[in-house]
Amino acid sequence: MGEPILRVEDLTTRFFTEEGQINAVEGVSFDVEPGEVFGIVGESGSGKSVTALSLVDLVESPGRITNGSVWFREPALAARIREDDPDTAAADGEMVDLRRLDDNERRALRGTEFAMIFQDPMSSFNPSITVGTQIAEAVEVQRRATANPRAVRSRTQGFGLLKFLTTSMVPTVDYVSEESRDRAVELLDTVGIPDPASRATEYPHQFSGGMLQRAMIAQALATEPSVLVADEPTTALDVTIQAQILNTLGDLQAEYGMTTVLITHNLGVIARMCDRVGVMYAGEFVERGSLEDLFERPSHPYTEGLLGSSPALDNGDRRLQPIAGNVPSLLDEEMPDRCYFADRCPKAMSECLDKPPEFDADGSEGHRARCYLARDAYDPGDALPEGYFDES
Amino acid sequence: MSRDTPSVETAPTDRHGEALVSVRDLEKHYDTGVSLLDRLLGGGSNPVRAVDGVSFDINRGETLGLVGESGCGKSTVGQTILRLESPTAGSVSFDGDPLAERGDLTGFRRNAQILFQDPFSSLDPRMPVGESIRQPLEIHDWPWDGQGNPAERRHKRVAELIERVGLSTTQLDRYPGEFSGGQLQRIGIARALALDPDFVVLDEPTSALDVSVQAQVLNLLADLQSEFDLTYLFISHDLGVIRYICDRIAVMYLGEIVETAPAEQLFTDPRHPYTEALLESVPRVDLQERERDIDPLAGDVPSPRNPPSGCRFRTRCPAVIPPDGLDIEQESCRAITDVRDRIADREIAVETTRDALAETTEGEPGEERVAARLYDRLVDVELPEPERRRVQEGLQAVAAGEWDRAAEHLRERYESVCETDHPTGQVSCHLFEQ
Amino acid sequence: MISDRVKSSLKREFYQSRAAQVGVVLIAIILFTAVFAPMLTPHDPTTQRVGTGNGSALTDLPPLSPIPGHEFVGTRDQTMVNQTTGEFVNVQQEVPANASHPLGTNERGQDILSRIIYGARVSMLVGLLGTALATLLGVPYGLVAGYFGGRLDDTLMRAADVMLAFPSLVLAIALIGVFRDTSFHTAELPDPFVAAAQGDLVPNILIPRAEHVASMPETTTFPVTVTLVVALVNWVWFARITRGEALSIRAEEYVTAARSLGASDVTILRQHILPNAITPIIVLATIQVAFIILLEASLSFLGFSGTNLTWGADIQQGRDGLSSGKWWVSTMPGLAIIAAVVGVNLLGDWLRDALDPGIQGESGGI
Repeated sequence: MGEPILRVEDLTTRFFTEEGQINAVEGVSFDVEPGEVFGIVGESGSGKSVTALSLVDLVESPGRITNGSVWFREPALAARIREDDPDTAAADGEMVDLRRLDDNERRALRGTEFAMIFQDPMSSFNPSITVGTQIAEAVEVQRRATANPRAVRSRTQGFGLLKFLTTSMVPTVDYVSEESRDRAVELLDTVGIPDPASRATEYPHQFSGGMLQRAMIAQALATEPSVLVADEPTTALDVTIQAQILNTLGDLQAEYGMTTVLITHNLGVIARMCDRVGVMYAGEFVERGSLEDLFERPSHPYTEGLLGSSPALDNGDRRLQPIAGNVPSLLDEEMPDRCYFADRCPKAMSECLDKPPEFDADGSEGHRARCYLARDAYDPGDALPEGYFDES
Repeated sequence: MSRDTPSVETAPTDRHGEALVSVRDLEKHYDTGVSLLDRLLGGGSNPVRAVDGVSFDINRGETLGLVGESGCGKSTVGQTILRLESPTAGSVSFDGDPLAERGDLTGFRRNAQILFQDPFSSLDPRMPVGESIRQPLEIHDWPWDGQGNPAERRHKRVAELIERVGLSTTQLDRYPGEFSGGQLQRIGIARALALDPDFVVLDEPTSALDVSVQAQVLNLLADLQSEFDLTYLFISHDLGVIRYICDRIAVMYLGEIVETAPAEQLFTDPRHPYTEALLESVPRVDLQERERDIDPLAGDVPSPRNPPSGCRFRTRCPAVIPPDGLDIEQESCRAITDVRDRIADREIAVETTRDALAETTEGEPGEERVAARLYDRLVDVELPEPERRRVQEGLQAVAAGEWDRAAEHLRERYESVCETDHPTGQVSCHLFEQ
Repeated sequence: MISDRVKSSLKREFYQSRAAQVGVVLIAIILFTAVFAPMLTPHDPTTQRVGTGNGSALTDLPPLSPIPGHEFVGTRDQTMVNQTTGEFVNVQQEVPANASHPLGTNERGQDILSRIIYGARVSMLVGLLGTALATLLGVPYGLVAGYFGGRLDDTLMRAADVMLAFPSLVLAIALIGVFRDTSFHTAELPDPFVAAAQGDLVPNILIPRAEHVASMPETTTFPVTVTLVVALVNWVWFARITRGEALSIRAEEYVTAARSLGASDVTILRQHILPNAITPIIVLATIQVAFIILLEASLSFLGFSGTNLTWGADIQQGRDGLSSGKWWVSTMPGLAIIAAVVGVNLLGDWLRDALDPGIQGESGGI
């Protein structure tokens, strides 16, 4: 294991709503190696999407990242920051802490090093501008960024309302350059869209779901990112289209060595794409490790539960083992002091009334589980009685 | 079987195996987007052929799975069987009685129920859930034996039902907004079972639920089926779930059933190319998944307004049957078919190519050059020489604006049985002619 | 019917929004005045007063009081004639605000504050009843059109749209013309407080200012035709909104579920469509009250309402005074109308913000 490209430490994101404080992400830590695919798997309410948004700093009010660091390996920037301020806490070795950068620098980094693709491609595209133009815009922004890294403002200059109106009314003036358009067509080809030159002149509504998702990937690639964050990229797609997209993502990842953080609730997708995985529940990682660790030696009962409740395509006889109960509320005032999973856990013990920290688990070096069972064997004599957590 | 005791007093306990629901040539077309003005001006309608000729039986006590991707028409089949939509053509019989001849569907509605996909929208948000469960009892004026106080008996029945699905009677006064998806789906099940129906259509009942909750609901459905002797039509796009709960499975594509088989067989020995592709596409939850090579289906689902002629799957099929005597690779066959489809739909941007050429050369580019350029753009496999020439000739005709001639030129040589004859049978594919 | 969630939204929105508080206070004050008019009013609004004087400065005038034995001749002349002697007396009638007339008097010497207090009755009655009637007409119409759809919907809504083609005031005047000569043009509603004060059933101890109340007008003139007309002008808005809601609710899955259970159309309309459509109808109704108050004022201004004791009529009456320095006669009723309309609109905003359907449902994507 070399130096990670991304190191998240103790990330905490909270939503301050009228109904109370929601602890969406609570003290999440993980590393991502360069070129690997790190999967975050969880069900609804686990906090996986908010984690993704927190990584690329897209959390919007009433949500806010309240704690933690997101270290990213960017030696040039780290050196420059240390030049300006030798005692800075924002740089450590070759890594910079995205949370401690000033706004401009963070935005600059986010636009060029991180790219994000979402579940619904339709809402990521402007319906009144052709797909080719939108991707060309992204290319253009990238070009300007590499030309002049410090000047964030000029990067997006010229895309304002005035320019748009002028170019709409005067057909010969174009607001993206020819080279950018050509590059956009290239990108569409890379993601496997047939006849990219003519498709680039079409509007988003003329694309099917799978095609549009590819176009979104193309747009994400335009910035030549180091890290791609994909939030449920295939959840809304049919299974045959999903296979196409996953293949494309796999090919791209192999060709460009692009680090990917893949968020999904589908264990099959995880199995297909990921090198290492983290399992989220109630805003925390309950287990993380290599794919093998999780499938062969899961330590946390929730991981076991997830595996047990997934219907297997190749074996129709195994009775599904559901996890009893429901996903807990993330409202601060309702969150207990114990292990969050204890009320649904088939192996809950009296120790579990104290919230467990992350322990090292059997298997690979990075395999950790937030469960006493990683440390001690299960003792049925110590089990909590059934119905212990039922409300009277 | 009770063949040896022909006494009339024999209770019909073992009617398993008989068809409870019979569907024959069912069609449902939607005529959307036709306004008053269009009708007045006599514009032709191009309806969406959501269900286009579907036939099957559902036997008592079994679970028939209906699986397919979005737009294949499976949900429409479910709704049309229950007469929530009226069919454009075809017939549905329930317990031997054709539904079309029944004027009053009340009796049918008592015996055939549905569970919907989205638990959050299938319950009225302004009614407490107890009231929603009680609704069918009130509509059909249960109890029918006139004993006891109806309100009391209904109350008891609702309490029974909610406990049977795993919730508590203290929750009866709460509103749907206070429950999770899994709990709401259980409430939906309670409502569907209130009148003790024989047949339940389950329309993607777990698709909106988390996988751990899905398992709860699936187990509950299975238990209820054996306890109350229910017959299920289980509609889903999730093959893992289908395999788990279904006895027999029908695979749908673009409004038709392409293969029907017992569950075990469908998964171990799929026949139709679409079934194969579908099974191949699903990622497995195991360690070897990364090594598994998937050759995904190309392209997108065609529009249900304009389904392809002959076999509807032919535009994406990896096993299209080439015409007799023509011996070419599947890849080439696919590439040529794609070009032919685009010519048929007139979806080739000739002007763009011509303009692009005009920029780089002097004078009007000739048709041959335009055709060559089009060829480069549209065909990305190596075609054997005679085919390459023929396709270019066809594209030349396209460049000249003669679409029909181009189509004809290519059809002469490349027309496949898959596009002329519509396949039928248990496995609807010409590779399996029966 | 009103769930806890709705109640708490209403409360929360009220505490957070200054505008909502102002609206509620304004409307509360206006309603209170309208109901308890006889007790709150300083004078009888119909009594005409004069003050004798020979052109001395206004501020020197003694308080205005009725002159017994004199007959009122005309506002323009500002003269009265002694009924016994036949002598003409120059009198002063319009005075600006002073101790006994806080808002001044109008050209007939009637106290403006009292007229405003009593005018509130007509505005509120017509506003509330007119809106109620428009709702009763428009909502079922819209429900039928939206739920059954198709040609029925087309026909019904085109017919309704025809009514919308007319500017509301023009349509109102035309309809008034139709109904004008009927016997129900106005109705005299007896005032319960005055009757109680005058009679013996309720001991006068229970009625504040009992003697004062007893001398107030015994009936309030309620303009029936105007109320009918404003309802007929307005019902189309309710029909439209309801139709839109019915269309969208009809497509909801729980309606399909109800049909699958065997529910009849009537049952579905009653149990599912109507309760779920109520919210925007309530918000619309609140806003329409404001519109109807304005419409009623306009009709009164033009003299169509059949009674003079309304804000609109008072404005008309004081119109000339605006240019000749007696600005308060028109302005005061005008301010009253503004207060009522603004109050109702703020109330409507409060309801709309609190009942916004965006509050329902899950918080996305956590």
